[in-house]
Amino acid sequence: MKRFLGALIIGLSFLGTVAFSSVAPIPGAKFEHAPYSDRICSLCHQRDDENNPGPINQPDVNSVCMTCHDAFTGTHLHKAMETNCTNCHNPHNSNTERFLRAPAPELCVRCHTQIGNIINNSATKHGAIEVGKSCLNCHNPHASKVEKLLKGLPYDLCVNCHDNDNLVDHNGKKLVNIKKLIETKPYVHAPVAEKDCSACHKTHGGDNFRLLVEPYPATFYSAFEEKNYALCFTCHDSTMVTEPQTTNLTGFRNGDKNLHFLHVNREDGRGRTCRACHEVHAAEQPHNIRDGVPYGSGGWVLKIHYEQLPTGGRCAKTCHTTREYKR
Amino acid sequence: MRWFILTLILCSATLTDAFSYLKPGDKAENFSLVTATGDVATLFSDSVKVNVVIFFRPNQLHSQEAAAAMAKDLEPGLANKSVRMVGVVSDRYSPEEINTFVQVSGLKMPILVDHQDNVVGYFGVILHPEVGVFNSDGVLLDYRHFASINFIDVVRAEIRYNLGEITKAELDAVIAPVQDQINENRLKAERRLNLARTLLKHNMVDKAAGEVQQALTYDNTLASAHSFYGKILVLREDHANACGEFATALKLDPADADGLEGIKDCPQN
Repeated sequence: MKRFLGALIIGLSFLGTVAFSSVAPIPGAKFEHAPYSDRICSLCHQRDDENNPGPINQPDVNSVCMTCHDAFTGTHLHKAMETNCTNCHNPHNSNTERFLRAPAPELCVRCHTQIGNIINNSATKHGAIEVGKSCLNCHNPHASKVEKLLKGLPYDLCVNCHDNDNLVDHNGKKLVNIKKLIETKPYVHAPVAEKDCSACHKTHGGDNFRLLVEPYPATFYSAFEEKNYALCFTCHDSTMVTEPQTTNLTGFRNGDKNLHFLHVNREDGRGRTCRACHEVHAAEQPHNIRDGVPYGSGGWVLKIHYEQLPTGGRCAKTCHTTREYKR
Repeated sequence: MRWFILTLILCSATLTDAFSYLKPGDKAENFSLVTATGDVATLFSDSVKVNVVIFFRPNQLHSQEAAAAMAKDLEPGLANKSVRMVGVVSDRYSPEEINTFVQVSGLKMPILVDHQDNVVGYFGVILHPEVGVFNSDGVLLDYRHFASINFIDVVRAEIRYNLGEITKAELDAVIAPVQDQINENRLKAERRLNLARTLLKHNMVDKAAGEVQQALTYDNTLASAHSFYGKILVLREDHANACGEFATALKLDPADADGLEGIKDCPQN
C-alpha cells in the first residue's frame, strides 16, 4: 500500500511538472505570438503542419527565439531566461500580455517560492507588489546592470511611488513623501546616500513596522532595549551604546565617557533612545540629529540645538541645559 | 534658485563620511597588527598600487554575507593584479569566532586583529562592513559604505578605477547606474523587422512585407526597417518606391548597409 501511495505521489508530481512545462497552444487565448498567429509553424518547428509541426528547428529553444528577438545583455542575467525563454513565455499564445505563462507574481513565485511565502504570509504588505506590473514594477525579468535584476538602485525605484503626498499604508495611515523629505535636507543617513533603501526595508513584505528588516519601535517614546533597536545594529556595532567607557567605539564621548551609553541607560523611563536624537532618513543637523522631539500631547516640538565642534559638540537648551563634550 | 538649492542638497547627499576621521586625500598611519594566523602584517603595502582595507564584524550578517561574496566574486579576479586586500576585525571576538568567520566565508585575504579597536577608533569607523581604498603610500583614495545592492560590483569598480583599468565615467556608471529606460516601440519594431527577415529567408515575401510595415507603424525612424522594406519592393519590382525607402533609410542613418547597397541602383546615383 505504501509503495502504491509513493508511486501515486511521484506520478502526480510528474504530471504536475508536465502540466507546468507544457507550452502547447491554449485554445482561445487572448494574445497570439506573431508566427503562431500566422500559423507559420516552420519558423520555429521542422514542419509547417499545424497538427504535426515536429520538433523545433534549432538545437535549443533560445536559439529559436533569437532568430527574431535580440539577446538581452547586462551584468546580471536571469537564470530562467538563460536556460529557456519558455520557462516564462508560451511561444504560441497566452491569456497574459507578453505571452507570459501566468501573470506576475504568480509566475515568478513558481520558482521564487521563498518570496512567494513572504508575499502571502507577511503581516505588513508592500503595495508595490499589488499594483501595476507587480514584480515587474521593480525587476527587469531578463537582464540588468543592478543586482537582483532591479531596474535601478533601490532609492531610484522606491521614489517612483514614494514621491507622493497622498500615499497611505495598508492601514490607511498617511506615508511621508520620502523623496521630498530626503532631498530637502542636507544630512542623509548612510544607506540613503548609497540609495540602499533595502538595507533597512524589506521590499516584498515583512512582519515589522514599515517593512523594516529588524525591529524598531513604532512609537517615539519607548525605553531603550538593544533588541528593540535591532535595526540600527544590523550596521552599527551595539558596543557604541553598551560600553560605558570607550576611546574608540564612538565619537559621541566626553573623554572616555560614552555619551550614547549615558543617554540610553537612564532609569527615569523617559525613553532616550536612538530615535529620540537621530532621524533615520535625513536631517538638518550633522550626525542625522533630529530638529526636535515631540513634547506633550499638544503637538509641540522641543527643538534640539546641536552644534558640531572640532573635537566634539554641544547641545544647547534642549532636553537639558547646555552641555558640551570633547573627545 | 530652488533648483540650485536642490542640486546642492543632492550633491551633498552623495558625499557621506565613511570614516569619521579620515577623508580622501588623508594619509593614514600604517598600523602593524597581529593576523588571525598569528603573523604580523601592516595595513598597507608599498609594493602594490592599490591597498584595500575592509572592516568586518564576524558576528554580523552583513559582514558574513559581504565576506562570502568577496571570496567568491571579488578575490579570484584580483589574484594577478597589483592589489592587496586586508580585513580588519576587533580583538573583542575570540580567535575561534574569527577563524569560523574566515573559514565559512572562504576569504583568502589576511585578517588583521585590531587590538582594543584602535584602528577602528583611528579611522572613525561607525558601521560595518566598510571599505577604504588606499594607494601604496596609505593615502585614502575612496571609501564605500556597505550596501545591500551592488556592493561587490562597486568595490570592484573602485579597485579597477584606481588601477587605471576603467575610466571615471565607467566607475560612475557602476556607482550610479541609470535606471533602465526601455523604448517599447523601438523594441517592437526591431522584433517585427527580425521576423520579417526570417520570413523572407523562407521566401514568404508578402508576409515579410506585412511584418516590416508593422515594424514601421511602431517606429518609422528605424532606418533598417525602411531599407529592408526597400529590398522587398525591389523583389516586387517597385523600384521607384524602393528607392524612396533606401533614401529615407540613409537620411535616418547614413551608414545603413542595406540602404547604401540599395541606393546604388537608384536613378539619381
